Amino acid sequence: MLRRKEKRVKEMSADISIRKVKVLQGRAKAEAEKQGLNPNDLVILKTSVNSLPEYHVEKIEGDPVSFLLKRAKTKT
Amino acid sequence: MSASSVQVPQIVLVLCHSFFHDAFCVERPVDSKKFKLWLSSRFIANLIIERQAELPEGSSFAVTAKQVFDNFAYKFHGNKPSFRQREVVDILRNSILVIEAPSITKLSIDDAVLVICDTLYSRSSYTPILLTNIPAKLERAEDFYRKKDPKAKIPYPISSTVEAEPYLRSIFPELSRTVDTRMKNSVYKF
Repeated sequence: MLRRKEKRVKEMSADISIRKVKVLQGRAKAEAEKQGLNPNDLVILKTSVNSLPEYHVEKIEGDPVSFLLKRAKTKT
Repeated sequence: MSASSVQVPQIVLVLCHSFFHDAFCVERPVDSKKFKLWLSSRFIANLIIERQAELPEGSSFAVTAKQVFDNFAYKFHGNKPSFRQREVVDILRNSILVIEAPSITKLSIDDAVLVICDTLYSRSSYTPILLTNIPAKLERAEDFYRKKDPKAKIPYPISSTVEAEPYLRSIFPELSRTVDTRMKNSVYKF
């Protein structure tokens, strides 16, 4: 039971990091292009792994530290 | 040996807890000395994120010890972190290499960063720079080395963020200009 639960948590795990659009590849790159982002833009790339990885791309406005501090204050 | 095969040592910033305190302080300090430390720390934190964002996975520009990072994270979000606060800490953890080796984690937060610097220095392909805004850290490092040899000298630079900023600007001019532009367009006025 515990093993099955652990497995499910592992399957739903997410990775979150800051990347530059120009180094993105595959579907993450396609998602950034769909949003009309420039190669030098910084994005928060969130990768959720279920059966297939899902990529969520969010553009960072201004400098990353200020953006993150502002983001930490928001509730959702 | 051809000139192209000579390996240029890779700069690695080793981050002390005072760096995190200054760089992620939300309040803009009124005192001019503290303001300079805050602004230079903020600049370097942005430079680290900017550089790490384009490095291949597995390469790191900045490093710290687990207990230093955990200390920062706890001060940042307290006992009950919100979802967003936890996400921000996870993002930062992915921009900085956090060393979790038991031989490092058993040390104090001061000694841990000194051991990381020494380990990096001993591998000839790295040039560590210890970033700290605590002046007493230099004495601490001297004591650390003199324990083994009374004549020993600190083999790597220890700099405040104010001292390190012009050096990093000279090494990464283009990246620094990008950071300046982003900071000008920030939600905070610099």
